Amino acid sequence: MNGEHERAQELLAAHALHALDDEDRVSLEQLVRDHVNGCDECRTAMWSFEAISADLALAADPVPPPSSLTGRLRRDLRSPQRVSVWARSAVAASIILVLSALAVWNAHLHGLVTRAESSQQLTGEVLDTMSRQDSRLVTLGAGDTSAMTGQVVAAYVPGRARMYLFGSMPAPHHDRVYQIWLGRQGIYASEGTFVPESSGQVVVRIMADPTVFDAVLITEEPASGSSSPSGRHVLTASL
Amino acid sequence: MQERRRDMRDAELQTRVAAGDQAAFEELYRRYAAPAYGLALRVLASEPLAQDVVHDAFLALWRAPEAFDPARGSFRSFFLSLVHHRSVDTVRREERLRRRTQRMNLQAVQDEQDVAERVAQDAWLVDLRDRVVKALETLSDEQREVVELAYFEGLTQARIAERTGVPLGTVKTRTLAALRRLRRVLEEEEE
Repeated sequence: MNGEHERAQELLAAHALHALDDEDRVSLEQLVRDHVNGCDECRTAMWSFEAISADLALAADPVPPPSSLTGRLRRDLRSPQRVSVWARSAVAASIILVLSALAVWNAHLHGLVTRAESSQQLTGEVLDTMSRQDSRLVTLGAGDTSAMTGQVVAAYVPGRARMYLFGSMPAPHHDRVYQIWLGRQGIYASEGTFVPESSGQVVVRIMADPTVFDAVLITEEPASGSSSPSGRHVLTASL
Repeated sequence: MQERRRDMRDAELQTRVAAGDQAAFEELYRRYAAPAYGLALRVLASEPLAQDVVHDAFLALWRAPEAFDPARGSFRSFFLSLVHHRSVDTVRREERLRRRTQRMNLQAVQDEQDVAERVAQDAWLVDLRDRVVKALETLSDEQREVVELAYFEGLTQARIAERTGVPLGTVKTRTLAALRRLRRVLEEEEE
């Protein structure tokens, strides 16, 4: 057990400093699921390391930004917000959920969908995407069903090979999962399957450039996933 | 205690920002723009890039204010972590380009004035900064090196091992030891 504490805290320390390598990130996800989520000592260490990491910022000499930055920011504050109130709430709730529980998403990952990661990582990525001037936010609409489908937004920056889906969805039917597809001219490629958290929150990162595709689709499929979108079309949007 | 009161004040301001109160936003900007910009400059060594990072971080705050949950920690931690994350992302992307020459230029600017003269900071923030700097000084040289390379240079641990010639496993153990030490020192001072 001590070995697990040490290994987990080594990775958590590196994560807090944003210094994890990709291989170790995968190891950390595994350890979070298998150990940290159930270990008070490691969870406490994680929060402490993250707080310390943030305070290290103060060790840099403070420098007032130029007044041009203030002016630029004021102009941008006046511009219409592209993110609807519910979307902002959805992403906030999703992030908060992930942070509070350090949840590992109940996602069956046979594609490129990655599990949500801990605090700054996910917060930074989603907020960065939403805040960029050139970001796109697309609300997914109901597919071929009149049932409750939830509310999900796709967020991405054209040219960057990643897209986020966030919002809330009801649980899929028993022994079913949701499957994400990116489509081009009617041909769809699977990007992985997922099941929302028990609260219904969804945050998924897809490692693909959405500008190469013309549609995003979420279907409900058997637990093992499907090779093509054969189940009920739950949510969809044109890209 | 004073720090906790300030954290509560930040949380109140953030609640007002969530309701669309621009005056509250400007108060948070006044308080955190200099630390945020100082951090971004230190990591990026580029004024234009640092300005972009700070701009985007504050804009994210305005556009998605609910992302901050006071139950999870202080606004200061949330926001400065966001700035750091964005800075590290940017420096890794831009690394191939320009770093050394602009770092020299930046240093020349910073040498012109004393920090205390340049920035009128909240006293509690100055106090906290002093404590963090002193805590860093309690680290061994080896521990401080890995923290600074990771945090202020934006290097991953594998890159730190390459840069220093120290085995990766040693980089990891030094990092953990450093954060544990900082945790102990800062928590002791808080009590």
